[in-house]
Amino acid sequence: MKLENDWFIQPTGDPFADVGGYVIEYFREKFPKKNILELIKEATYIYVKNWDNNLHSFFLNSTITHNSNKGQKGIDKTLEYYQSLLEDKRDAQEGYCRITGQKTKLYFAGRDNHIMSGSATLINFHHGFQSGILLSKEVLIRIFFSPLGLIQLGNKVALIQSNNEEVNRYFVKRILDNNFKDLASGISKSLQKSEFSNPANTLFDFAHKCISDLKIAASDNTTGTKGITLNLYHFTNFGASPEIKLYTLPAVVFLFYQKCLSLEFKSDWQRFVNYHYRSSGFKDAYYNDATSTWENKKDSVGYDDYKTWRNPVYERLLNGESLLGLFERWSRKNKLNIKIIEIYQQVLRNMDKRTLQKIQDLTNFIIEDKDFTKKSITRLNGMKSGYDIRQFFLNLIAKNYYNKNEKALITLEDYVEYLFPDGASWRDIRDLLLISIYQKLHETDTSLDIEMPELEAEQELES
Amino acid sequence: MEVYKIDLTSWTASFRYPNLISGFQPTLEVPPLSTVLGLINAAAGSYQNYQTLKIGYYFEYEAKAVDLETIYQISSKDGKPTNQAKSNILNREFLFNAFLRLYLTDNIIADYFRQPYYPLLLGRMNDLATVTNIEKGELAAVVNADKVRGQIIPFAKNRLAGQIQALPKYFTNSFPRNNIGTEPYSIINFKSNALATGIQAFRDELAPNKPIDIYFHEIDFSVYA
Repeated sequence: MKLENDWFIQPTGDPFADVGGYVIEYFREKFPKKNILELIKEATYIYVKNWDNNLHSFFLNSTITHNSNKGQKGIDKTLEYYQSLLEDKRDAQEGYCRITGQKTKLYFAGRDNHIMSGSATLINFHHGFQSGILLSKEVLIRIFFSPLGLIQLGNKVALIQSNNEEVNRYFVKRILDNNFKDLASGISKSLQKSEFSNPANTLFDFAHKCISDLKIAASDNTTGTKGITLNLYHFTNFGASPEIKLYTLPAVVFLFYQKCLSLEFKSDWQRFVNYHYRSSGFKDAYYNDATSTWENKKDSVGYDDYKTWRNPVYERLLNGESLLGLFERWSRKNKLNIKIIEIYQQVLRNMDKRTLQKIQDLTNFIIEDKDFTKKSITRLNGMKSGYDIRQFFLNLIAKNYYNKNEKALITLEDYVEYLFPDGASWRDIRDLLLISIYQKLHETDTSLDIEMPELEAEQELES
Repeated sequence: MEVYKIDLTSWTASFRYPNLISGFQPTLEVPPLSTVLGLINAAAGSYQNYQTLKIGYYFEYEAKAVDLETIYQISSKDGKPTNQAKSNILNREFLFNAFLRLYLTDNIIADYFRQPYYPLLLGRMNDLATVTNIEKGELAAVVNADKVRGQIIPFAKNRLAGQIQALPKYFTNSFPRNNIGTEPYSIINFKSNALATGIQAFRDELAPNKPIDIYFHEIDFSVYA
């Protein structure tokens, strides 16, 4: 049986079909002499003989998952179904495939042969009460292969899709390599299980692997890469409760994360991230910076254990929430390379470089006087509104004037354009100023006796 | 390039992922071409048979939220609907305070929006939209556009970062309707930070100091005849 085109592997934009395509690509390399039906047979054997028909997260009442299709019967029915598709022996309509866009014979897809596309109970959710969505045989076959390229994450299945083909292929290849390793050892019983249980950690771990293993560049003119997005589909098509959620690691977060993992910042960044892991199951724990372990009176756990805990740093980056509160809190007692925060503000928060420079100028002015630094920190920590920080800046301007300094500390342009531009948050400016002051104090090894209030960030971290 | 800019706003909008039928219903962050061309049909009051079409658009919104929605599932027998329906619920994501700007080169199409024939919708039937402004303007060409956002861009040649989805360009005027021109697109959120693209686009200003580079989709419908 000759394949006429590459619709079995060509990227379509549909995450499920594309994973199936990468699996077929992998199978073709592994079994170069086998045709597509023989490859389907290989996959079917794995599903039936090794995985005991356990594809319930993908297909409902399929030729494999229906209770009556255990053992050889499941194999026979599956091969019969896909052979009839390949030989165009099934009822079909001519039209455009809903996923590939190609003009070809189309077949109805539902929960037995496709993922998340609904069943007969959703007939009025299809055009003209059709019995499902209309797809080409190539897409249906790709979907059949997709479980082999996916991973179990908690109680659902995870799929990571990117705009970068190399990243997509890498995601599937790692899983398939492990599947075949386990099959060879006779221990493959189902999907590969992720060591993580939440999407945020999974995405950042995968981004880390892409950066370190693939040496992938977020923006690279030689390869034409224009930023890398990672989209995680977390889904189950199981029984009466199909569910799907999408998580996106945007290109700017990928770019920021890549910079954080560079040699210059990695150590500072990793300490900051490690400190923020949280687990409700590990009570009264504290982070031991010297050993990079989390400890309590009874136990001590290393990175390989706590890396699976939830981490508000990753969660905030995924949700587009500010990290400044966490940076500020961390900076009180720890040295953090200020460039990380500058990159964060510029890449993720679109902050003007001149705003950051102005904050540095204000910091230099404040730390000239130890008592004034102490008072300034206390005052900044106690601020409740934008009015407070405006008053604070006006006082700095006055102090600079009465000190008879020739150069204005804050010009009208600085105030309007850079400290309080449209859409800027006074909290961000306050936090940045505090971070910058702490940074200078660390650099000069200056210790100030200040009573620190517990910030909202601390309470949020524990929630 | 001389264009007609049509501004539409709506309280809510929701654009389905075409092939996610069961479970949670997320919304695309930018409408697909088929939705925008459907909007033109609604304004025109009839199905538009294009030979070719050049169109650009930009979409933004204020917030994203999830609504618990009642749905009715009609039971079927032998692949045909019956008169039995049962209610169910699902969570549907929606966009709040949406803004869509269309860029059209054809004044006839632009004129449809001066007095739309049917209600204009940005998604479901309750996502009612209003035309807030129609004006003629000149857009300057930009090579290697770096302010492409709030749009969908064909993926195959550009591979831009964003949510990647297979989206249709249009639907047939048949029953049932069939999608045509489906291909992968990068869906680029309006909040995305600017990245160099290598795309030829046209620069507009949404507001003072708020430039945007608009990609024009050039569709040849004859290939789908």
